Amino acid sequence: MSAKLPYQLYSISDQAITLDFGGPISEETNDRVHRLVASLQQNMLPGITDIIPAYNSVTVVYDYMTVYQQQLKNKNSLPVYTLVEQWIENNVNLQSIENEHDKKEIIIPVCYDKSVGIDIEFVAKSHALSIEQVIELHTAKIYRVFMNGFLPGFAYMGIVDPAIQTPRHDIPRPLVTAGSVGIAGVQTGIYPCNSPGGWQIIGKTPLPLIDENESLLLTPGSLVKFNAISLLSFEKLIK
Amino acid sequence: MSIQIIKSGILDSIQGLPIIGKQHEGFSPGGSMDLIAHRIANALVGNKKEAAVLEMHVPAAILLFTKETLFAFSGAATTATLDNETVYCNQPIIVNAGSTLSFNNPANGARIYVAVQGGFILKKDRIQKNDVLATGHSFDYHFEGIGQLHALSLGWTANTQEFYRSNNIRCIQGPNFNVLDTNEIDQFQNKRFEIDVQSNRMGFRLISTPIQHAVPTALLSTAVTKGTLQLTPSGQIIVLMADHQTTGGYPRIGTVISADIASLAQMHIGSSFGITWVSIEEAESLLLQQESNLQQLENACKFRLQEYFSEK
Repeated sequence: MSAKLPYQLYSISDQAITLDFGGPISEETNDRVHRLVASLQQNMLPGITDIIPAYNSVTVVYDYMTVYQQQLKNKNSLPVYTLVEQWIENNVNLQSIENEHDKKEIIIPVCYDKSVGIDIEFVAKSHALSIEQVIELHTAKIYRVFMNGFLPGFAYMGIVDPAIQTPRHDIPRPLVTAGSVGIAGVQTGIYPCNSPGGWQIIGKTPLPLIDENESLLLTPGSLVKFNAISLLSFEKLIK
Repeated sequence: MSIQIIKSGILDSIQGLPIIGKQHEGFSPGGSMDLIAHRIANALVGNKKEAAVLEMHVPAAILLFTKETLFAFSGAATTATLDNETVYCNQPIIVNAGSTLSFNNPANGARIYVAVQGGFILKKDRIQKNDVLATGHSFDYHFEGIGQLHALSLGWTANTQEFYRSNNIRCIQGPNFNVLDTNEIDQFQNKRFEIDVQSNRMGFRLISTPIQHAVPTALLSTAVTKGTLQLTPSGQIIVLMADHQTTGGYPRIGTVISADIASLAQMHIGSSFGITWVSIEEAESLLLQQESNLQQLENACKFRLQEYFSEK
Protein backbone atom coordinates (compact mmCIF):
# COMPACT_ATOMS: atom_id res chain seq x y z
CA MET A 1 0.00 0.00 0.00
CA SER A 2 1.40 3.35 -1.00
CA ALA A 3 1.91 6.23 1.37
CA LYS A 4 -1.03 8.53 2.06
CA LEU A 5 -1.65 11.03 -0.67
CA PRO A 6 -2.55 14.57 0.28
CA TYR A 7 -6.05 15.64 -0.69
CA GLN A 8 -8.37 18.63 -0.67
CA LEU A 9 -11.96 18.53 0.46
CA TYR A 10 -14.39 21.20 -0.74
CA SER A 11 -18.09 21.84 -1.31
CA ILE A 12 -19.05 22.24 -4.97
CA SER A 13 -22.64 23.04 -3.99
CA ASP A 14 -24.72 23.04 -0.80
CA GLN A 15 -25.55 19.41 -1.65
CA ALA A 16 -22.25 18.04 -3.06
CA ILE A 17 -18.70 17.67 -1.75
CA THR A 18 -15.58 16.72 -3.70
CA LEU A 19 -12.49 15.01 -2.38
CA ASP A 20 -9.66 15.87 -4.74
CA PHE A 21 -6.35 13.98 -4.67
CA GLY A 22 -4.85 16.45 -7.19
CA GLY A 23 -2.04 15.68 -9.60
CA PRO A 24 -2.08 14.56 -13.24
CA ILE A 25 -3.91 11.57 -14.73
CA SER A 26 -2.33 8.49 -13.20
CA GLU A 27 -3.43 4.92 -12.65
CA GLU A 28 -2.22 5.01 -9.05
CA THR A 29 -4.36 8.03 -8.12
CA ASN A 30 -7.32 6.57 -9.99
CA ASP A 31 -6.93 3.35 -7.96
CA ARG A 32 -7.20 5.48 -4.82
CA VAL A 33 -10.35 7.03 -6.26
CA HIS A 34 -12.00 3.67 -6.85
CA ARG A 35 -10.92 2.31 -3.46
CA LEU A 36 -12.50 5.35 -1.82
CA VAL A 37 -15.70 4.86 -3.84
CA ALA A 38 -15.85 1.19 -2.76
CA SER A 39 -15.29 2.15 0.86
CA LEU A 40 -18.00 4.84 0.75
CA GLN A 41 -20.45 2.42 -0.87
CA GLN A 42 -19.83 -0.12 1.90
CA ASN A 43 -20.40 2.45 4.63
CA MET A 44 -23.32 4.33 3.13
CA LEU A 45 -24.81 7.25 4.99
CA PRO A 46 -28.56 7.99 4.70
CA GLY A 47 -29.13 10.86 2.30
CA ILE A 48 -26.19 10.16 -0.01
CA THR A 49 -27.69 10.11 -3.50
CA ASP A 50 -24.67 9.61 -5.76
CA ILE A 51 -20.95 8.92 -5.61
CA ILE A 52 -19.16 10.11 -8.73
CA PRO A 53 -15.58 9.01 -9.40
CA ALA A 54 -13.40 11.07 -11.73
CA TYR A 55 -9.70 10.86 -12.67
CA ASN A 56 -8.35 12.05 -9.35
CA SER A 57 -11.42 13.01 -7.37
CA VAL A 58 -14.60 11.63 -5.85
CA THR A 59 -17.76 13.72 -5.61
CA VAL A 60 -20.48 12.84 -3.14
CA VAL A 61 -23.96 14.19 -3.87
CA TYR A 62 -26.41 14.28 -0.97
CA ASP A 63 -29.97 15.28 -0.21
CA TYR A 64 -29.68 18.09 2.30
CA MET A 65 -33.05 17.44 3.97
CA THR A 66 -32.39 13.73 4.55
CA VAL A 67 -28.99 14.35 6.14
CA TYR A 68 -30.51 17.19 8.15
CA GLN A 69 -33.16 14.81 9.55
CA GLN A 70 -30.34 12.50 10.67
CA GLN A 71 -28.65 15.42 12.41
CA LEU A 72 -31.88 16.24 14.22
CA LYS A 73 -32.25 12.65 15.37
CA ASN A 74 -28.70 12.64 16.69
CA LYS A 75 -29.24 16.03 18.33
CA ASN A 76 -26.30 17.32 16.35
CA SER A 77 -26.38 21.02 15.52
CA LEU A 78 -23.35 21.15 13.23
CA PRO A 79 -23.95 22.22 9.62
CA VAL A 80 -24.96 19.31 7.41
CA TYR A 81 -21.93 19.59 5.12
CA THR A 82 -19.55 18.98 8.02
CA LEU A 83 -21.19 15.63 8.72
CA VAL A 84 -20.77 14.55 5.09
CA GLU A 85 -17.17 15.80 5.09
CA GLN A 86 -16.44 13.82 8.21
CA TRP A 87 -17.90 10.68 6.67
CA ILE A 88 -15.75 11.06 3.55
CA GLU A 89 -12.61 11.69 5.61
CA ASN A 90 -13.26 8.65 7.77
CA ASN A 91 -13.42 6.57 4.63
CA VAL A 92 -10.35 8.04 2.97
CA ASN A 93 -8.40 7.20 6.10
CA LEU A 94 -9.79 3.68 6.23
CA GLN A 95 -8.72 2.54 2.78
CA SER A 96 -8.43 -1.03 4.04
CA ILE A 97 -10.34 -2.49 1.14
CA GLU A 98 -8.28 -4.09 -1.57
CA ASN A 99 -8.51 -2.83 -5.06
CA GLU A 100 -11.69 -4.54 -6.17
CA HIS A 101 -12.50 -2.92 -9.48
CA ASP A 102 -13.31 -5.51 -12.07
CA LYS A 103 -10.53 -6.41 -14.41
CA LYS A 104 -12.60 -7.87 -17.22
CA GLU A 105 -11.06 -7.09 -20.56
CA ILE A 106 -13.44 -5.88 -23.23
CA ILE A 107 -12.49 -6.14 -26.90
CA ILE A 108 -13.89 -3.33 -29.00
CA PRO A 109 -13.83 -3.66 -32.81
CA VAL A 110 -12.87 -0.39 -34.49
CA CYS A 111 -12.82 0.53 -38.15
CA TYR A 112 -9.97 3.01 -38.70
CA ASP A 113 -10.89 3.79 -42.33
CA LYS A 114 -10.52 7.47 -43.26
CA SER A 115 -14.20 7.65 -44.16
CA VAL A 116 -15.21 7.12 -40.51
CA GLY A 117 -11.93 8.02 -38.77
CA ILE A 118 -12.12 11.52 -40.16
CA ASP A 119 -9.10 12.88 -38.24
CA ILE A 120 -6.77 9.88 -38.52
CA GLU A 121 -4.87 11.42 -41.41
CA PHE A 122 -4.35 14.62 -39.44
CA VAL A 123 -3.20 12.68 -36.36
CA ALA A 124 -0.74 10.67 -38.49
CA LYS A 125 0.62 13.78 -40.22
CA SER A 126 1.06 15.77 -37.03
CA HIS A 127 3.32 13.02 -35.67
CA ALA A 128 5.01 12.18 -39.01
CA LEU A 129 3.55 8.68 -38.86
CA SER A 130 1.70 6.56 -41.37
CA ILE A 131 -1.99 5.78 -40.77
CA GLU A 132 -1.00 2.13 -40.24
CA GLN A 133 1.40 3.17 -37.49
CA VAL A 134 -1.33 5.19 -35.75
CA ILE A 135 -3.63 2.13 -35.87
CA GLU A 136 -0.85 -0.08 -34.55
CA LEU A 137 -0.09 2.27 -31.65
CA HIS A 138 -3.76 2.76 -30.75
CA THR A 139 -4.54 -0.98 -30.76
CA ALA A 140 -1.32 -2.04 -28.99
CA LYS A 141 -2.28 -0.88 -25.52
CA ILE A 142 -4.77 -2.10 -22.98
CA TYR A 143 -6.61 0.95 -21.70
CA ARG A 144 -8.34 1.39 -18.41
CA VAL A 145 -11.62 3.21 -17.92
CA PHE A 146 -10.85 6.01 -15.47
CA MET A 147 -14.36 7.40 -15.22
CA ASN A 148 -17.74 7.87 -16.92
CA GLY A 149 -19.08 11.30 -17.68
CA PHE A 150 -19.87 13.89 -20.36
CA LEU A 151 -22.62 11.75 -21.98
CA PRO A 152 -24.53 8.68 -20.75
CA GLY A 153 -22.12 5.78 -21.23
CA PHE A 154 -19.12 7.86 -22.30
CA ALA A 155 -15.94 6.38 -20.81
CA TYR A 156 -12.72 8.32 -20.34
CA MET A 157 -9.90 5.89 -21.14
CA GLY A 158 -6.12 6.11 -21.15
CA ILE A 159 -3.28 6.36 -21.24
CA VAL A 160 -2.68 6.94 -24.97
CA ASP A 161 0.83 6.27 -26.31
CA PRO A 162 2.76 9.58 -26.33
CA ALA A 163 3.61 9.00 -30.01
CA ILE A 164 -0.04 9.60 -31.01
CA GLN A 165 -1.30 11.93 -28.27
CA THR A 166 -3.04 14.82 -30.04
CA PRO A 167 -4.83 17.80 -28.49
CA ARG A 168 -8.54 18.22 -29.13
CA HIS A 169 -9.81 20.59 -31.83
CA ASP A 170 -9.88 24.26 -30.78
CA ILE A 171 -13.46 24.51 -31.97
CA PRO A 172 -15.62 21.45 -31.33
CA ARG A 173 -17.51 19.91 -34.26
CA PRO A 174 -21.25 20.47 -34.03
CA LEU A 175 -21.83 16.76 -34.69
CA VAL A 176 -19.77 13.68 -33.91
CA THR A 177 -21.69 10.49 -34.72
CA ALA A 178 -22.37 7.65 -32.27
CA GLY A 179 -19.59 5.06 -32.16
CA SER A 180 -16.83 7.50 -33.12
CA VAL A 181 -13.51 6.72 -31.40
CA GLY A 182 -11.46 9.74 -30.48
CA ILE A 183 -8.22 10.91 -28.93
CA ALA A 184 -7.75 14.00 -26.73
CA GLY A 185 -4.25 14.31 -25.29
CA VAL A 186 -3.59 11.29 -23.07
CA GLN A 187 -7.26 10.23 -23.27
CA THR A 188 -9.17 8.05 -25.68
CA GLY A 189 -12.93 7.58 -25.74
CA ILE A 190 -15.98 6.56 -27.74
CA TYR A 191 -19.03 8.75 -28.35
CA PRO A 192 -22.05 6.67 -27.21
CA CYS A 193 -24.49 8.87 -29.11
CA ASN A 194 -24.48 11.71 -31.61
CA SER A 195 -23.14 14.81 -29.91
CA PRO A 196 -21.08 17.93 -30.46
CA GLY A 197 -17.46 17.09 -29.72
CA GLY A 198 -13.86 18.24 -29.99
CA TRP A 199 -11.88 15.01 -29.90
CA GLN A 200 -9.72 13.82 -32.83
CA ILE A 201 -11.80 11.10 -34.45
CA ILE A 202 -9.62 8.20 -35.61
CA GLY A 203 -12.18 5.43 -36.07
CA LYS A 204 -15.62 4.08 -35.38
CA THR A 205 -17.01 1.04 -33.56
CA PRO A 206 -20.24 -0.76 -34.50
CA LEU A 207 -20.66 -1.80 -30.85
CA PRO A 208 -23.37 -0.02 -28.83
CA LEU A 209 -22.05 1.36 -25.52
CA ILE A 210 -25.40 1.51 -23.81
CA ASP A 211 -28.32 -0.88 -24.13
CA GLU A 212 -32.06 -0.26 -24.04
CA ASN A 213 -32.11 -0.80 -20.26
CA GLU A 214 -29.51 1.93 -19.95
CA SER A 215 -26.83 -0.43 -18.73
CA LEU A 216 -23.31 0.53 -19.73
CA LEU A 217 -20.68 -1.52 -21.56
CA LEU A 218 -17.77 0.43 -20.07
CA THR A 219 -17.59 1.36 -16.40
CA PRO A 220 -14.72 2.58 -14.21
CA GLY A 221 -12.11 -0.15 -13.88
CA SER A 222 -12.99 -1.91 -17.15
CA LEU A 223 -9.98 -2.81 -19.30
CA VAL A 224 -10.34 -2.15 -22.99
CA LYS A 225 -8.50 -3.37 -26.06
CA PHE A 226 -9.27 -2.04 -29.52
CA ASN A 227 -9.28 -4.47 -32.42
CA ALA A 228 -8.92 -3.10 -35.97
CA ILE A 229 -11.57 -4.24 -38.46
CA SER A 230 -12.04 -3.50 -42.15
CA LEU A 231 -14.61 -1.10 -43.54
CA LEU A 232 -16.39 -4.10 -45.06
CA SER A 233 -16.85 -5.92 -41.75
CA PHE A 234 -17.75 -2.64 -40.05
CA GLU A 235 -20.57 -2.12 -42.55
CA LYS A 236 -21.71 -5.71 -42.08
CA LEU A 237 -21.75 -5.37 -38.31
CA ILE A 238 -23.62 -2.10 -38.36
CA LYS A 239 -26.51 -3.75 -40.25
CA MET B 1 -58.62 11.21 -21.11
CA SER B 2 -55.85 13.27 -22.45
CA ILE B 3 -54.43 16.67 -23.08
CA GLN B 4 -53.87 17.43 -26.71
CA ILE B 5 -51.40 19.99 -27.94
CA ILE B 6 -53.44 22.05 -30.42
CA LYS B 7 -50.55 24.38 -31.14
CA SER B 8 -47.11 23.69 -29.74
CA GLY B 9 -45.20 26.31 -27.80
CA ILE B 10 -41.54 27.13 -28.04
CA LEU B 11 -40.41 24.17 -25.90
CA ASP B 12 -42.98 21.97 -24.17
CA SER B 13 -42.01 18.75 -22.41
CA ILE B 14 -43.15 16.39 -19.69
CA GLN B 15 -40.85 16.56 -16.67
CA GLY B 16 -40.52 14.79 -13.36
CA LEU B 17 -38.24 15.26 -10.38
CA PRO B 18 -34.52 14.92 -11.19
CA ILE B 19 -33.32 11.33 -11.54
CA ILE B 20 -30.75 10.95 -8.84
CA GLY B 21 -28.02 8.39 -8.49
CA LYS B 22 -27.07 7.96 -12.15
CA GLN B 23 -24.74 10.88 -12.60
CA HIS B 24 -21.72 8.61 -12.09
CA GLU B 25 -22.72 6.82 -15.31
CA GLY B 26 -22.94 10.07 -17.23
CA PHE B 27 -26.71 10.56 -16.95
CA SER B 28 -27.76 14.11 -16.29
CA PRO B 29 -30.33 14.36 -13.47
CA GLY B 30 -32.75 16.35 -15.67
CA GLY B 31 -36.21 17.04 -14.29
CA SER B 32 -38.20 20.26 -14.03
CA MET B 33 -36.08 23.41 -14.23
CA ASP B 34 -38.18 25.08 -11.51
CA LEU B 35 -38.77 22.40 -8.91
CA ILE B 36 -40.70 24.76 -6.65
CA ALA B 37 -43.32 25.39 -9.32
CA HIS B 38 -43.33 21.67 -10.10
CA ARG B 39 -44.17 20.87 -6.50
CA ILE B 40 -46.72 23.66 -6.06
CA ALA B 41 -48.60 22.71 -9.25
CA ASN B 42 -48.79 19.13 -8.03
CA ALA B 43 -49.81 20.13 -4.50
CA LEU B 44 -52.63 22.32 -5.85
CA VAL B 45 -54.31 19.30 -7.47
CA GLY B 46 -53.54 16.86 -4.65
CA ASN B 47 -50.71 14.98 -6.36
CA LYS B 48 -47.56 13.63 -4.81
CA LYS B 49 -44.55 15.78 -5.64
CA GLU B 50 -43.13 13.01 -7.86
CA ALA B 51 -45.99 13.27 -10.36
CA ALA B 52 -44.93 14.33 -13.85
CA VAL B 53 -45.94 17.81 -14.98
CA LEU B 54 -46.03 19.68 -18.28
CA GLU B 55 -43.19 22.22 -18.49
CA MET B 56 -43.65 24.99 -21.02
CA HIS B 57 -41.42 27.86 -22.01
CA VAL B 58 -43.04 31.08 -23.09
CA PRO B 59 -44.81 31.32 -25.52
CA ALA B 60 -46.58 28.21 -24.27
CA ALA B 61 -48.68 25.62 -26.06
CA ILE B 62 -52.44 25.78 -26.55
CA LEU B 63 -54.02 22.76 -24.87
CA LEU B 64 -57.25 20.82 -25.27
CA PHE B 65 -58.64 18.73 -22.41
CA THR B 66 -60.59 15.71 -23.69
CA LYS B 67 -62.11 14.88 -20.30
CA GLU B 68 -62.99 16.94 -17.26
CA THR B 69 -60.31 17.12 -14.61
CA LEU B 70 -58.80 19.24 -11.90
CA PHE B 71 -55.69 21.09 -13.00
CA ALA B 72 -53.42 23.94 -11.93
CA PHE B 73 -50.53 25.91 -13.36
CA SER B 74 -47.68 27.49 -11.48
CA GLY B 75 -44.26 29.02 -12.08
CA ALA B 76 -44.35 32.12 -14.27
CA ALA B 77 -46.85 34.69 -12.97
CA THR B 78 -49.44 34.48 -15.71
CA THR B 79 -53.08 34.18 -16.55
CA ALA B 80 -54.65 31.92 -19.12
CA THR B 81 -57.88 31.82 -21.08
CA LEU B 82 -59.99 28.71 -20.55
CA ASP B 83 -62.56 28.84 -23.33
CA ASN B 84 -63.78 32.39 -22.64
CA GLU B 85 -62.92 32.71 -18.97
CA THR B 86 -59.73 34.11 -17.49
CA VAL B 87 -58.04 31.73 -15.06
CA TYR B 88 -55.12 32.43 -12.76
CA CYS B 89 -51.89 30.70 -11.83
CA ASN B 90 -51.52 28.96 -8.47
CA GLN B 91 -55.20 28.03 -8.25
CA PRO B 92 -56.83 24.60 -8.53
CA ILE B 93 -59.21 24.78 -11.48
CA ILE B 94 -61.90 22.37 -12.65
CA VAL B 95 -62.02 22.05 -16.40
CA ASN B 96 -64.80 20.58 -18.55
CA ALA B 97 -64.22 18.08 -21.32
CA GLY B 98 -63.50 19.78 -24.62
CA SER B 99 -62.15 22.97 -23.07
CA THR B 100 -59.24 24.83 -24.62
CA LEU B 101 -56.55 26.52 -22.55
CA SER B 102 -54.23 29.20 -23.90
CA PHE B 103 -51.73 31.17 -21.89
CA ASN B 104 -51.17 34.89 -21.82
CA ASN B 105 -47.71 36.44 -21.66
CA PRO B 106 -46.48 36.33 -18.09
CA ALA B 107 -45.73 39.49 -16.14
CA ASN B 108 -42.86 37.64 -14.49
CA GLY B 109 -41.13 34.36 -15.12
CA ALA B 110 -40.16 32.20 -18.06
CA ARG B 111 -41.58 28.74 -17.43
CA ILE B 112 -45.11 27.48 -16.76
CA TYR B 113 -45.88 24.15 -15.09
CA VAL B 114 -49.21 22.36 -15.55
CA ALA B 115 -50.31 19.53 -13.28
CA VAL B 116 -53.49 17.46 -13.57
CA GLN B 117 -55.08 15.52 -10.76
CA GLY B 118 -53.70 11.98 -10.69
CA GLY B 119 -50.75 12.92 -12.86
CA PHE B 120 -49.86 12.23 -16.47
CA ILE B 121 -49.43 8.68 -17.68
CA LEU B 122 -46.09 8.11 -19.32
CA LYS B 123 -45.72 5.28 -21.79
CA LYS B 124 -42.48 3.99 -23.14
CA ASP B 125 -43.80 3.80 -26.68
CA ARG B 126 -45.51 7.18 -26.59
CA ILE B 127 -44.64 10.19 -24.52
CA GLN B 128 -41.63 9.93 -22.25
CA LYS B 129 -40.09 12.38 -19.89
CA ASN B 130 -38.09 15.12 -21.57
CA ASP B 131 -39.58 14.47 -25.03
CA VAL B 132 -40.22 17.72 -26.80
CA LEU B 133 -43.91 17.86 -27.62
CA ALA B 134 -45.27 18.93 -30.98
CA THR B 135 -48.62 20.00 -32.30
CA GLY B 136 -50.93 16.96 -32.46
CA HIS B 137 -49.24 15.18 -29.60
CA SER B 138 -51.51 14.04 -26.85
CA PHE B 139 -50.78 12.49 -23.51
CA ASP B 140 -53.06 10.75 -21.10
CA TYR B 141 -53.84 11.56 -17.53
CA HIS B 142 -55.46 9.60 -14.79
CA PHE B 143 -59.07 10.48 -14.23
CA GLU B 144 -60.47 10.08 -10.78
CA GLY B 145 -63.98 11.17 -11.55
CA ILE B 146 -64.93 14.54 -10.26
CA GLY B 147 -68.60 14.05 -11.01
CA GLN B 148 -70.80 17.10 -10.90
CA LEU B 149 -68.82 20.19 -11.72
CA HIS B 150 -69.19 22.94 -9.17
CA ALA B 151 -66.80 25.66 -9.98
CA LEU B 152 -64.26 26.83 -12.45
CA SER B 153 -61.78 27.86 -9.80
CA LEU B 154 -61.93 26.37 -6.35
CA GLY B 155 -61.59 29.91 -5.14
CA TRP B 156 -58.24 30.12 -3.44
CA THR B 157 -54.72 30.95 -4.49
CA ALA B 158 -51.36 29.74 -3.24
CA ASN B 159 -49.01 32.60 -2.51
CA THR B 160 -45.72 31.73 -4.13
CA GLN B 161 -44.04 35.13 -4.20
CA GLU B 162 -41.79 34.45 -1.24
CA PHE B 163 -40.06 31.65 -3.18
CA TYR B 164 -38.72 33.85 -5.95
CA ARG B 165 -36.23 36.68 -6.20
CA SER B 166 -35.31 38.54 -9.36
CA ASN B 167 -32.52 41.00 -8.80
CA ASN B 168 -29.73 38.88 -7.45
CA ILE B 169 -28.82 35.26 -7.16
CA ARG B 170 -26.90 33.92 -4.20
CA CYS B 171 -23.92 31.63 -4.75
CA ILE B 172 -21.24 29.90 -2.74
CA GLN B 173 -17.65 30.25 -3.91
CA GLY B 174 -16.22 27.34 -5.87
CA PRO B 175 -12.90 25.48 -5.74
CA ASN B 176 -11.37 27.62 -8.52
CA PHE B 177 -12.58 30.98 -7.22
CA ASN B 178 -8.92 31.94 -6.78
CA VAL B 179 -8.38 32.18 -10.57
CA LEU B 180 -10.19 35.55 -10.46
CA ASP B 181 -8.01 38.69 -10.38
CA THR B 182 -8.12 40.52 -7.04
CA ASN B 183 -9.78 43.51 -8.75
CA GLU B 184 -12.52 41.23 -10.03
CA ILE B 185 -13.08 39.78 -6.56
CA ASP B 186 -13.43 43.30 -5.10
CA GLN B 187 -15.80 44.44 -7.85
CA PHE B 188 -17.70 41.21 -8.36
CA GLN B 189 -20.78 42.17 -6.38
CA ASN B 190 -21.26 45.22 -8.65
CA LYS B 191 -21.27 43.21 -11.85
CA ARG B 192 -24.47 42.44 -13.77
CA PHE B 193 -25.00 39.26 -15.72
CA GLU B 194 -27.41 39.03 -18.63
CA ILE B 195 -28.90 35.74 -19.80
CA ASP B 196 -27.80 35.16 -23.39
CA VAL B 197 -30.08 33.80 -26.13
CA GLN B 198 -27.88 30.71 -26.34
CA SER B 199 -29.34 29.42 -23.10
CA ASN B 200 -31.37 26.28 -22.65
CA ARG B 201 -32.21 23.49 -20.23
CA MET B 202 -28.53 22.42 -20.20
CA GLY B 203 -27.16 25.76 -19.13
CA PHE B 204 -27.46 29.53 -19.20
CA ARG B 205 -24.72 31.55 -20.85
CA LEU B 206 -24.23 34.82 -19.02
CA ILE B 207 -22.98 38.02 -20.63
CA SER B 208 -20.98 40.49 -18.56
CA THR B 209 -17.82 42.55 -18.94
CA PRO B 210 -15.24 39.76 -19.35
CA ILE B 211 -14.04 38.44 -16.03
CA GLN B 212 -10.28 38.96 -15.68
CA HIS B 213 -8.66 35.78 -14.50
CA ALA B 214 -5.47 33.77 -14.45
CA VAL B 215 -5.34 30.93 -16.93
CA PRO B 216 -5.40 27.87 -14.72
CA THR B 217 -3.14 24.93 -15.36
CA ALA B 218 -5.16 22.33 -17.26
CA LEU B 219 -7.90 21.03 -14.98
CA LEU B 220 -8.91 17.39 -15.09
CA SER B 221 -12.59 16.67 -15.61
CA THR B 222 -14.47 16.28 -12.36
CA ALA B 223 -18.13 16.11 -11.43
CA VAL B 224 -20.22 19.26 -11.77
CA THR B 225 -23.67 19.98 -10.38
CA LYS B 226 -26.75 22.01 -11.17
CA GLY B 227 -25.91 25.65 -10.52
CA THR B 228 -22.16 25.35 -11.16
CA LEU B 229 -20.67 28.61 -12.50
CA GLN B 230 -18.14 27.55 -15.12
CA LEU B 231 -15.69 30.21 -16.28
CA THR B 232 -14.93 29.86 -20.00
CA PRO B 233 -11.57 31.02 -21.45
CA SER B 234 -13.22 34.21 -22.77
CA GLY B 235 -14.05 35.27 -19.22
CA GLN B 236 -17.79 34.57 -19.47
CA ILE B 237 -19.83 32.34 -17.18
CA ILE B 238 -21.97 29.33 -18.07
CA VAL B 239 -24.37 28.29 -15.29
CA LEU B 240 -25.29 24.62 -15.46
CA MET B 241 -29.01 23.87 -15.31
CA ALA B 242 -31.22 20.74 -15.15
CA ASP B 243 -29.88 18.88 -18.21
CA HIS B 244 -26.22 19.68 -17.51
CA GLN B 245 -23.32 17.46 -18.49
CA THR B 246 -22.16 15.38 -15.55
CA THR B 247 -18.47 16.30 -15.64
CA GLY B 248 -16.57 19.35 -16.74
CA GLY B 249 -13.06 20.73 -17.02
CA TYR B 250 -13.64 24.51 -16.86
CA PRO B 251 -12.69 26.41 -13.69
CA ARG B 252 -15.62 26.36 -11.26
CA ILE B 253 -15.76 29.74 -9.61
CA GLY B 254 -18.98 29.16 -7.68
CA THR B 255 -22.37 27.47 -7.48
CA VAL B 256 -25.87 28.88 -7.24
CA ILE B 257 -27.36 27.89 -3.87
CA SER B 258 -30.13 25.29 -4.07
CA ALA B 259 -32.67 27.77 -2.69
CA ASP B 260 -32.13 30.12 -5.67
CA ILE B 261 -32.15 27.65 -8.57
CA ALA B 262 -35.90 28.06 -9.13
CA SER B 263 -35.53 31.86 -9.24
CA LEU B 264 -32.80 31.56 -11.85
CA ALA B 265 -34.89 29.07 -13.84
CA GLN B 266 -37.69 31.65 -14.00
CA MET B 267 -35.47 34.36 -15.49
CA HIS B 268 -35.95 34.81 -19.19
CA ILE B 269 -33.44 35.50 -21.90
CA GLY B 270 -32.28 39.11 -21.80
CA SER B 271 -32.93 39.67 -18.12
CA SER B 272 -30.01 40.41 -15.85
CA PHE B 273 -29.05 39.90 -12.24
CA GLY B 274 -26.17 40.31 -9.78
CA ILE B 275 -24.35 37.60 -7.87
CA THR B 276 -24.07 37.71 -4.09
CA TRP B 277 -21.62 35.39 -2.35
CA VAL B 278 -22.90 33.62 0.72
CA SER B 279 -21.33 31.05 3.03
CA ILE B 280 -22.34 27.42 2.84
CA GLU B 281 -23.87 27.75 6.30
CA GLU B 282 -26.16 30.51 4.96
CA ALA B 283 -26.96 28.40 1.90
CA GLU B 284 -28.00 25.55 4.19
CA SER B 285 -30.23 27.67 6.40
CA LEU B 286 -31.87 29.33 3.37
CA LEU B 287 -32.61 25.90 1.90
CA LEU B 288 -34.02 24.66 5.19
CA GLN B 289 -36.26 27.71 5.51
CA GLN B 290 -37.47 27.37 1.93
CA GLU B 291 -38.15 23.66 2.29
CA SER B 292 -40.15 24.22 5.46
CA ASN B 293 -42.22 26.99 3.82
CA LEU B 294 -42.80 24.80 0.80
CA GLN B 295 -43.90 21.86 2.92
CA GLN B 296 -46.27 24.16 4.79
CA LEU B 297 -47.78 25.29 1.52
CA GLU B 298 -48.08 21.69 0.30
CA ASN B 299 -49.89 20.75 3.51
CA ALA B 300 -52.20 23.74 3.22
CA CYS B 301 -53.10 22.70 -0.34
CA LYS B 302 -53.85 19.17 0.81
CA PHE B 303 -56.06 20.45 3.60
CA ARG B 304 -58.00 22.89 1.38
CA LEU B 305 -58.58 20.22 -1.26
CA GLN B 306 -59.86 17.73 1.29
CA GLU B 307 -62.13 20.38 2.72
CA TYR B 308 -63.49 21.28 -0.69
CA PHE B 309 -64.22 17.74 -1.78
CA SER B 310 -65.75 16.70 1.54
CA GLU B 311 -68.19 19.60 1.43
CA LYS B 312 -69.28 18.76 -2.07
